[in-house]
Amino acid sequence: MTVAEPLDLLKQNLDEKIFVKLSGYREMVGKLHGYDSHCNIVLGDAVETIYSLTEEEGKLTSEQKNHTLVFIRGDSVILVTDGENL
Amino acid sequence: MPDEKEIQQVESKTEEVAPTPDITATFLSSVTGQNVNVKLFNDFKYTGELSSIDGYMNVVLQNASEIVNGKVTNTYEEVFLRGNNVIYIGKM
Amino acid sequence: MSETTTPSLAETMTLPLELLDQCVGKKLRVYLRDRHVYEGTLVGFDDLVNLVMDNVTEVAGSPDNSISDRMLISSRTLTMLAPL
Repeated sequence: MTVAEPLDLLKQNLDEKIFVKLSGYREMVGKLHGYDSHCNIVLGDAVETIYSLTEEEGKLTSEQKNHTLVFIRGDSVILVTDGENL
Repeated sequence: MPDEKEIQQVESKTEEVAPTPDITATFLSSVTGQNVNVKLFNDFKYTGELSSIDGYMNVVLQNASEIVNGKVTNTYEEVFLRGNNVIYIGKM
Repeated sequence: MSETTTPSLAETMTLPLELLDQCVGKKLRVYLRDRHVYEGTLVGFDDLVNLVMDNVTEVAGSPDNSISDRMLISSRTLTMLAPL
């Protein structure tokens, strides 16, 4: 197949802000410092958003956490996209 | 003697059962650049132009819509989907 | 060694991939892990049993009867295949 590698999208976004959707209803926005073929990702100055539903009302809530430097294990990654507008 | 024949028959049978090894690769090359539906294990559906795909089924879609329960929840100019979450890639 | 038993086993045994090969061109129901079930016509498969299928509908799970022209179903979550 003579198409560019999907992981090239990550290569293109090195040192840029990216948005990562993770399993467990989590999202991360941060500066891409590095990645590998497993999709392990290192983000700098990252904001983690954790979504949950309240038991009684079923209302969607979220909590946020800040990380100066964080390692994301590749097998939890669902999607990655550009995070500049966030 | 019939036993040997039967053995040979089975052996040739297993050789004939050659799964079409190209079919999946052919399909993927044919569908690159086209509009596809990619469904993930969490039931999220992504519709967009297939930019690239690799052996692990990692996918890059351009101008993709994220559809959850029939409703468009997000759009992405360019999105990378990790292959291990992919259930199917369908031509639209 | 056990040449007398091998032929009789071989007579009755259907290799799994053989069954799949016989299904090419036929309608198949595909069961995935976690309640996803698809039905369609088998076009082909590869060594890992990734499937290429035509005219696929989603039978169970999320009520999403997307009929796809042609589709590649990943072998990753494949559980069962049933010829219809």
